[in-house]
Amino acid sequence: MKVLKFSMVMISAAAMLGWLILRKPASASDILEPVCYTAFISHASDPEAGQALALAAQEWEGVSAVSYNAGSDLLVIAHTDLWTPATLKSRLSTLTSTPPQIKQFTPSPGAQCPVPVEIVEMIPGFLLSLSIFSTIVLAGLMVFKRKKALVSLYQ
Amino acid sequence: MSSYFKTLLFAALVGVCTIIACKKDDDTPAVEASLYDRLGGITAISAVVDQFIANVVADNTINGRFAATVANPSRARLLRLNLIDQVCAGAGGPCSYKGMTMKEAHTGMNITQAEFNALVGDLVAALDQFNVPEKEKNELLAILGPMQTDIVGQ
Ligand code: HEM
Repeated sequence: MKVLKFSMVMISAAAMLGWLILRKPASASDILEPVCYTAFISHASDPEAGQALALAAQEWEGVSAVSYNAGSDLLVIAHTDLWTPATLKSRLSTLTSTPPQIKQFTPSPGAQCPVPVEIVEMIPGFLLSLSIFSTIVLAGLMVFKRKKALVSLYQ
Repeated sequence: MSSYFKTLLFAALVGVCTIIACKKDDDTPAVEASLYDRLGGITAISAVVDQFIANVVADNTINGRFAATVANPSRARLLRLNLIDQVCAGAGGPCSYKGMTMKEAHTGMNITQAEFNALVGDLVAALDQFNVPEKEKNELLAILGPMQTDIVGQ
């Protein structure tokens, strides 16, 4: 029991320390909705047609920015989770006779972090949960021990 | 004089003093609001950063650099938040930038001056799209400009 309690104290303290170091301090940006970027090859007949597509998309709910570059013929849409690349594509297709095509960006091979960003982002939350969990277990163990002592006192 | 009258007189005196004090405040030159406030706060900054990233991704001269970022939504989200926090904190707003230093983030990329200029061009285009006044635009560029030495040729 003593070893278990000691381990719980150590895990809780270490996890709390890790969380304190890794956590992102409160920031005004915490209130912002996450945004994704989807790029399309617009296949617009001329720059004006591409610009018209961009202006139309700018008005849609859940779209925070649109950029059309006549030089690259790329139409890039910054959007919330209200949209997926597929739903954006089908909506854009209703506005033009030549449907835009999703541009796939292929990362160049080279040194990259082997740990996915999603995992790295989850670490502080995991550490905080671990710290809270081990504190609850520790409190439970202490209550359990007290109850046992009280029971033996009245027997 | 009744105590009721005395209290009334005292209250009136306090009121007059407050009005005079406020008037004096009005006369002193107002302290200029921070760049963060003048830009329009976090919502305006995030709108400009979204436009800026969209401009960069549409820009064939540099978008290859961000291929891995755009291909991975979590990575793109992180870059966006880091840029918003960086601009917000640099402009004196209530944000904390928790990303890498500019030298750490760009080391090994061998970014050229032309690429840097293209990226700044995309930022200026985003600021212009939102009609950010010349003064605020220049103040923001003056905050980011000195980072060039840590970004180009690293
Ligand atoms: C004033 C100019 C610039 C600023 C303020 C800036 C800012 C940043 C910031 C805040 C990050 C994220 C750091 C982190 O992940 O902790 C970043 C990453 C990056 N920057 Fe820059 N940068 C600038 C110029 C450039 C230029 C000119 C290029 C290339 C053309 C570039 C390419 C990249 C790339 C590829 C990443 C990694 C993105 C990722 O994590 O997926 N940057 N930059």
